[in-house]
Order: sequence, then C-alpha cells, then structure tokens
Amino acid sequence: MSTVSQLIRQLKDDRVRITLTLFGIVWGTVSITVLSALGESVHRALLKGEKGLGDGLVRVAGGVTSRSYGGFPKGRWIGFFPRDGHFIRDKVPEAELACTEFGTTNREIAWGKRMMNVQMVGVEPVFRDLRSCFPQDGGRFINELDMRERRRVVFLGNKFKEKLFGRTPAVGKTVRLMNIPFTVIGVMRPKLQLSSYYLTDRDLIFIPATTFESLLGWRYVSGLLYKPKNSAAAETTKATIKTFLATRHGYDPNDPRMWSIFDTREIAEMLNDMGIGIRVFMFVIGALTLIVAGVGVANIMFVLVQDSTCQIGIKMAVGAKPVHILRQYLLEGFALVFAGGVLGLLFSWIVLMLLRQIPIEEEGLAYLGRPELSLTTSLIVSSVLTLIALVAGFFPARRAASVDPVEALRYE
Amino acid sequence: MSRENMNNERFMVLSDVTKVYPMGEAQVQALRGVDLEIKAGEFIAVLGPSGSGKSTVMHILGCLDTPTSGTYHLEGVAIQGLGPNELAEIRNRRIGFVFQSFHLLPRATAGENVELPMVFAGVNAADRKTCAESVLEQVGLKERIKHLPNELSGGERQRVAIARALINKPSIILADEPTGNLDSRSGAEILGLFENLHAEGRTVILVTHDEAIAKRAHRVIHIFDGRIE
Repeated sequence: MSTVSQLIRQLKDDRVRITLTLFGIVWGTVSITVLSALGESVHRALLKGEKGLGDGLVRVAGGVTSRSYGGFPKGRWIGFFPRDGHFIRDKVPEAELACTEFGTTNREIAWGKRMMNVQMVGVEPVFRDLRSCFPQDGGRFINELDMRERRRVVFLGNKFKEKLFGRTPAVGKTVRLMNIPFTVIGVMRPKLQLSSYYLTDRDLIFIPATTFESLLGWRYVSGLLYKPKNSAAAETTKATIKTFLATRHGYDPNDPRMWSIFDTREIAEMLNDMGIGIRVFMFVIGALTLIVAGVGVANIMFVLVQDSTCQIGIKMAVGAKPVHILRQYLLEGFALVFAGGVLGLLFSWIVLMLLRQIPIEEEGLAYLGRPELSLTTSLIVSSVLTLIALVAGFFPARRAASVDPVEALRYE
Repeated sequence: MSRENMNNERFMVLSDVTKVYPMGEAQVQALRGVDLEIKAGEFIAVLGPSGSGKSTVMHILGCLDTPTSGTYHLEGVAIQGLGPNELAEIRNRRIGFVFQSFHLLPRATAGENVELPMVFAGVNAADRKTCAESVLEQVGLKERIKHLPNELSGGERQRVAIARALINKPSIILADEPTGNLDSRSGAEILGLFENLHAEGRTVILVTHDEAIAKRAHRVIHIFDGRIE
C-alpha cells in the first residue's frame, strides 16, 4: 500500500512512461468527448433545422379524388378556399395558427435598374409564427391591417434580399413587383431550415394573401397550414381536420389521393433517427480511440508490476495479503486513468470552446451547430473511462497479486 | 506436560521436510528431508555454504514458502495446510524478516518502511507513526525517520530493516545473512542488536555462511546439500 507521497516519488521516477500513457488517455478522452459533443450538436442542429420550416407544421393541399362519393364519380378536382383556413381556425380548436397560402408563383421584381425573377407567396399574418419567419430588426412581418387594406407591401427572404439589394438596407424601399410598386416592410431573420415543399423561405418573397388574391385573381389556395395545439394528439387533430374538409367539400374523408399532406413531425422523426445514428457512430469512433489508450495503460501497468516485483515480495514478506497487492495496482491504474480523464475533459472543453468560435452561418457548417460539453456527454465519457480503468488495471493487478514471494524477493 | 511447556519445547518443528524447485526442464532438490526442532527463545545460527539449502530452510520457517513434502508446525499449527492469506497473517504478526540486501522500499522514507507491516495489520496512521518512532529510537535512528533509503548508509539501512521487523512485536526474528553486505564495524553493531533481541526473549534465527558469526549464536545447525548434519 503506497501513501500519496510514495506514489508521487514513483511518478517522478517513471515520468517518461507515465507521461506517454497519460497522453494516450488524454488523447482518447478528447477524441471521444469532442466527437460525442459534435454528434450531439449535429443531432440538435438537425432537429432545429427541421423546426425552421415550422415546429410540428402540417400542410394540406387539394387534389383529384380517386373514389366516388355522394353520387359523384371519381376524378374530380377539389381545391380549398381562403375561407377554409378561417373555418378551421374557428371550428377546430385543436389546430393552432391555421391559415392558407397562395403560391408559389414566379414573378418579376425590380429595384432601380436591377430586375430579376422571384418565387412569390401570398400569406396571412399568423404565417410568421407558424413558419418562424421573424423579421430582422427594423422591419416587420405582414399584419392584419395589410390584409384588410390589401396593401402593396412585401416581406423578403434574407437570401433574396441580398440578391436584389446587396448590402443596401431594403426596408422602406419601393420595389416594382409585376410592375406595381410595393414597399419593403421587412427582411427575414436568418434561420436554419432543412426541408421545404418549394424553395426555402430565405429565397422567397411574401405579400398579404388578400393583395395576392385581388391582383392575381386566384380562386383556390395552394395549401392550408396548421399546427396541432397538442403535439401528442397530432393524429386525432389530423383526423378531425380530414373529416371537416371532406364534409365541406363533399368527398370521401378516407380518399388517399385527397390528402396530399406535408407533416414536419414525420420528417422530424426521421431526422431524429439520423441524428441518433450520427451520435452512435461518433461515439464508437471515440470509444475505439480510448480503448487503444486503455491498452496502453494495461501495458504500462504490466511493466510497473514487472519492475516492482521485488517490492511486491518485500510487502508480502512483511504480511501483505494478495488482496492488498491487488488493491494497490487497481488503484494505481485507476489514478492514471482518472488523471488522464480529467485532463482530457478539460482539453475537450477548450477544444469545443474554440470550435464554437468558428462562424457557422455558412451553409455546411451550420449543421455542426454549437458543440458543448453537455452533462450527458461527460457522464458517458466518465463511465467509459471507469470501465477502461477497471479492465486495464485488473489484469496487471491480478498478476502482481499472484507473485510467489520467494521468487519475488530474489528478483532484482 | 503443560500446554505452555509443550509449546516451549516444540515451538517450531520441521519433520522430514523436502523442497523441490522446478528450474527450467530440470528440478532442483533444495531440501532432502530435514528434521529440526526449535525451542521458544533460542538464538540459533543456520550455517552452510551457498546452495546448501539454508535460505530455503529460512523461507519455510518464515512461512514465505511451504514444503514439497513433510510437515512444519509452528506452535502446534500445521503450516503446510494454510492458504496465502493465513500465511500472510502469520508473517505479519509473528515473524520479522531481515534480509542481506535490506529489502527496503526505495521510494518510501525510513519511517514509512518501518510502518509497512502495521499498514497490512490495519493499524491507523497516527498509531503507526508513534510506533515507528519508538522502534526507530530503539535501533538508534530516530532522527533519520524522514530519510529515503538511498540517503542512508548500509548499516543504517539494515537497522531500519530491523526496526521494520520489530514493529508488530513478533516472537520470531529471521535474518538471512544480515551482515553480508556490511563492513565489519556495522556488522558487529547489527549482531549486537540481534543479541539484545534475544535477551528480550525473542527467538532469533540467523542464516549465515560465516562461522565467526555463527559462533555468536547459542546453537549452530550445520546444513549441507539439503540435509542437516
């Protein structure tokens, strides 16, 4: 049994070997920690990116019936009206932020001498919360007054704004949309959006649905959007709305072709599975690195046992039982892994802090998210380290404990 | 005969003990049937040339090793039937070893070396320290308590080893060539210490190849080629 001061003296004597082993454990710990943290952050970014389209958003579009119903033959085209959105809002309280949208439609837009084509959507004010289309400072989204007065105002996706205006501020400027003057009221705040059913929101422009309707004369909306109030009851809400719309428009509520639906929850589940897959993958790579370091610890422990055979003999001669010797080497192996693990976690924290300094607004990097040393990661890494320490320390310790004292005393 | 008397007479008894070591392919017959009785409180020298088996006798008497055949009884207890934990306990409490090459832990101070048997006996740190101080004082090294072995002379190291052998107050002291690595003056001092220990009532067994040293003991056992002569 060594006291702390004896252990420190021993560490000084074996410092080259110990340092190398320690480095192995630190390296392994940093690998597993940073990789796990990155996996976690990619997972988080995937889920957040999905929410960029709208958290739990459901989009329903009309279509052509594939079943006869109520005396009508199949093959009828059914479209939804703007008022269907209001009805859902009034009659189906389980649905939140229900609204309709027109478009997209490709139109010409001009600012000064610059002219280009853009995909345009007609939307209602609740669209902002439904799809997280929040304005950058100094601007606003479409409001009720715009709707009522059918104002000629336009809200720009942030990427399209760059295309048309470059770095010039856009809010308050007048653009010509379909050769009609429109005032820019806001620019979208950048957001991570992973999926879309046409272009991502940053490439679109938005005008009030009423303005859209009066200028273009569309009778049918392109889609009906809502979000279930209680995500646990999402399927029931979906069924309620299905029946509600089928009754209003006279078609079979179970007609599979009439329910062209876009449910972000389903995509979210898929992305969640993908995120878990990435995390497991990252963890396994990191764990393999750490296991290599564990082999290094076992190796140095064997060497230490070999070198101190005579000391083991001395201890046994003065009355050490095998369990005393076993405990000593288990503890030494543990101390080594523990020190390496603590240093490794510290370094990981620094590495992750540096990683967070990288600007991630750029395309691909956005999916890296902001890796952090989370409690989950720390706990997982600590458990793996403990396991490695036990396994790496046990076999050398067992050899030490089974030494024959007479042989050991002769060993110089 | 009272039990105490019997213990006194038949304190350590070897009967027809043999020891065979495997040495690669071959086998070495270290002991070829040794019978030996030692009374409590004796001062004995085991004398023999190198390779005669005298160290093996000491290892068996000290419960570091068990006989290949034959029996060893220590105070009536059959040693050959005991497991490693029981042997460790006997070594810890009843036997003190002194070796030719001192066998101190190189990274432990004199005090820590002396405390070692008490660590395995489960004594707490404060008591260990007090005891270590008192036995070091007994061998005249109290002021060296914080020194590492490589900071001590040969004679001092051996005195630390003797202090370590004494700390658990064992009744038997086994010494294997205790003066072999020392100059004659330190050797004489160490032998003096053993005489004191014997005078205090302990059983002292000295293993040596030096007749002059063996003469200091009260009984000399000659061992040659694995047999007692």
